[in-house]
Formats: sequence, C-alpha cells, structure tokens
Amino acid sequence: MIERLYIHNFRCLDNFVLPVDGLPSSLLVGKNGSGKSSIGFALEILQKIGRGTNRLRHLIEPHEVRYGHTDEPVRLELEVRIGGVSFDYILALELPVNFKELRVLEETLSVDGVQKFTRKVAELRFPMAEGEFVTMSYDWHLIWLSAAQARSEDDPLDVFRKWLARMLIVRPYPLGISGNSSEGTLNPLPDMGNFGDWWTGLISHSPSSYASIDKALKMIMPDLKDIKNPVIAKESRSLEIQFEQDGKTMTLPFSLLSDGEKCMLIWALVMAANEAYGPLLCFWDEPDNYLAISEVGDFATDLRRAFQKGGQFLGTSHNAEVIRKFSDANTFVLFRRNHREPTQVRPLKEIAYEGDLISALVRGEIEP
Amino acid sequence: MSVNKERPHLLVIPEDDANRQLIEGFRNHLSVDPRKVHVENVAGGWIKALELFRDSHASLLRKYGQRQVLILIDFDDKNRLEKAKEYVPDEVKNRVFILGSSSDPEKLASSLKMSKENVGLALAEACVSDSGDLWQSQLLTHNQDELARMKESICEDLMIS
Repeated sequence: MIERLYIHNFRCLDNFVLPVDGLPSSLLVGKNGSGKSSIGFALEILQKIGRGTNRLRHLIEPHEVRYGHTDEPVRLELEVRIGGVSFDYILALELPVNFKELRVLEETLSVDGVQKFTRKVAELRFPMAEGEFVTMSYDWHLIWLSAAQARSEDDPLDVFRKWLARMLIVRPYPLGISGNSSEGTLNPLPDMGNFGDWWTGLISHSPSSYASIDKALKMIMPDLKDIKNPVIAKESRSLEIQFEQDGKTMTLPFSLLSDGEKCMLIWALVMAANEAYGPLLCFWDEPDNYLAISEVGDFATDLRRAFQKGGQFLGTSHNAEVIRKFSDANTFVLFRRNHREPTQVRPLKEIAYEGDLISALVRGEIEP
Repeated sequence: MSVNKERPHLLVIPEDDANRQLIEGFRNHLSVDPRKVHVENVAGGWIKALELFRDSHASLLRKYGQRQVLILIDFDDKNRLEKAKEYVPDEVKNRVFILGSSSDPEKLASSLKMSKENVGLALAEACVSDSGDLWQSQLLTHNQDELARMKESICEDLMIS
C-alpha cells in the first residue's frame, strides 16, 4: 500500500503529495485538466522502471517537465509497504541546458530505512559495513533500479521491482483490444492492448482465477457460459466468449464484444489479479468509460470491495454514479485555477459544501 | 447490472448526503450483496425523502412484490417516526422501514470516532454478527423496533448467498 507519493515538477503536479495512506480505495475528482490523469502518468513511469525500462527517453519526455520550470528537477518519491516491509524510492531527474533527454540527478532505494543504493548523477554508491561504501559510474540517462541484478526472488530489490511492475495502470482503449495473445504476461499495458496476453498469463499463473472471473462476469452477463482461449496458430491464441440462453449457445470472438463488455472483462481480471498475485496497486482512469449507467455504480462498488481485502485502488471519475459510491473520507478533489498553476489536492471531508455532493460538483462549488 | 426486481431487494432513500455515505458503507460490507441494495439519489431533507417515497415509490412497491424500502432520515425530534409513518400507505407498511440517527450522521460518526462510511460498515457488521452494541448507542437506540422488523423481514436476503 502507498504510504506516500510525492510528485514534483511533472506535468501540472508541483510539490504534490497524494494523501491516500491507509485507504484501500480512493477516488480523485476534479475538472478536466486538474491533474487526475497526470498522477497515473507519474505512476506509469515507476511501473515501467519495475518492468525493466531504464532509458530515460523511454520513460519521460522533456515536455513533461512542468511548463516553464526546466531549471528545477522532476522528483518522484514513493514510499510503499509490501508484506510488512517499507520501501522508499526517490528519483530526481533534471534537464540541463541543451540536453534533449533528461538525466538522473538523484536515485535512492531504502528498505526499512536502510539504504540499498544512492546515486548522484553518474556516481552510484552501495553502502557496505561500518560506514564504508563502494562506488561505480553509471550512464546518467539510465535508471539503476531497472538494471540492478537481484540475488534471488526474496531480494528486496526484486520484491519492490515486482510490485512496481505489477502495478495496474488502466485506461483502456477497447477498439485496440483484439483478445489475441502470443505469450503470457502478468503485466498488462495501460491501454490493455495486450489483454489477451494478460488473460493467458493470469490463467497459467493461477488457474483458479477463472472461477473468480466467471463469477464476477455472470453477475453482469447472466447468459455467459464460457470463455475459451484456443490456439489459432503456432504460439498464438485468441479469446472466444460463449453465451447460452434457453439451451442455445453462440460464440463470439473477443473482438466482437462491445467496448463496454471488453471493459467488463478487464474489470473481472483486475479483481482476479489482485486476488491471485496481489496485493496490487490499481490506478484506473475513469472506470465508468464505455459502461451503461445501470452498470457503473455496481462496477465501482465491486472494485472497492475487491481491494478492501488487500491492495489499493485509485480511481478518477466525472461520473455521478461512481462518485456516489465513495465518501468524504476517501474522495479527493484536484483543482487548479489555470494552466500555469500547479494542481492542488484536498480531501473532500475538508471542503464544506451545501446539500447534495453531485449538485455541488455540477455547480462548480467543490473547490479547495 | 441493476438489482433483480424479481428477487428480494432493498431500495434505500437517503435524506441527505451524510445518510448516503452511511448506507454505501453498509453496502460495502463483504457479507452484504451490493446488487440487492439500490441507493436512490439523496432526497434533500426528511420531508422530501418521505414525499419522494409517497409520490414515486409507494406505487412501485405495489408493482414489485420483492421490493422493500428503507428511508434514512435524521430523527431530530422524538415524534418524527410517527410523523414519517403517516406517509406510508397501510397496504405496504410491512415492507417499509424508517431508520436514522437521533441527531445527524455527522454527530453519530464523530461520537463513534469513525468516518460515516465506516459507521455504515460497522452497522452492517453488527447486523451480520447479531451484535446489538452499536445499534444500542445513544444516537441509534430508538431504532430498535424498526431494526428488529427489518432484520426479520429482509436482512438475511441481502447477504451474499
């Protein structure tokens, strides 16, 4: 679970702390351009580091440094607790004059308060016994955390990296999801373009997940009979969905499902993944997109309940039905007056409003 | 999917946003089936909640035999329950329940040192475990008769089977 996320000088986020410590589920609300999605993009940098991307140009673009502030470093600081162990990762990046790619200014990983490595620009330091340390040089355009060799699966470095890698950042683009797979993965892409691979990876990793997925989907698709993932060519599979009504069955390729139905499958996999290889952090940008109004509220409630048992869910939304499924204690309002100002965040419980929350939001009265 | 109208379900009319948060907490309890509890938009006051029930939902109760209704209001004065019951037609009164805090959910939450949502969660836990402690707290104890009636009538049906 996130204990602290600090983002500085990235997109519209400046000196920004996300106050979600101890909350299994939270909702970010705010007008368009207030910075909700930017939090997801910051998390995505960390996710990619966990997944092995270490070249900075593949992680962050120069234009993502806050507008007009290229003389200041971008800072991402993440404190998480995983299985009772505290991890504290700090990454500061700078864009010197005439550089076309950011470089590392600072990089540190501490585990339960003990530094595993620290770094200033190209110089890496590894603490040894009795205040001694070993140093080495490393390309300042590369992230050390992605590249460092872990000694075993229990090595805290690997535990933390795996947690980052398995973070679920979800902003699906249903038209681009085919349901085909060529390999299994537990690391879906934010747009879910590799959904088929994720299905294959999850079911191979934990075959019992199928039962959870089936149970969740049958609540919203009562005529669902089966989901198959047959081989269609060498090392290639394609998802098929079978429906049954009055003893008659029909099978659809995944690609023929509606956008909303594809999102329902993603929803079922998010919950099953948290159960199978969690606890996970899930950031879902507008989970209400593509869904019928009759589904939206329960969809959000189910996500909240799934992460009550472990893991952490962060959602963003403009949808009244979703917003009503959260409360003052776990809703955060993001706000900025204009595009030059950074984002402010305040818990809804600290904002006084009259009457119904949704009406107050519609009237634009919910502002820090 | 919205609630299955052919099966027992509870439709909740919260007087205000605080009561809405409380019932969402109740609904989030892992033993409660959220698809059997539908929460209407906040009514905007106790009289409006009762008028909404009388004008829109009483006739629907006659249409949907498996539906029961919970109206959540603040009992700011002792006679409010009796006044509220006047809005419920005789033929459906066994399927309508009126519960609430004797002041408002804000005071209830601060007296229990919990968020409103967690009060709802704790009230659900008290129902599931059949422990009356929370429901007997000073701001809730007046609900005993309505609660007993509701428990007997629908609580079990709202749990995950």
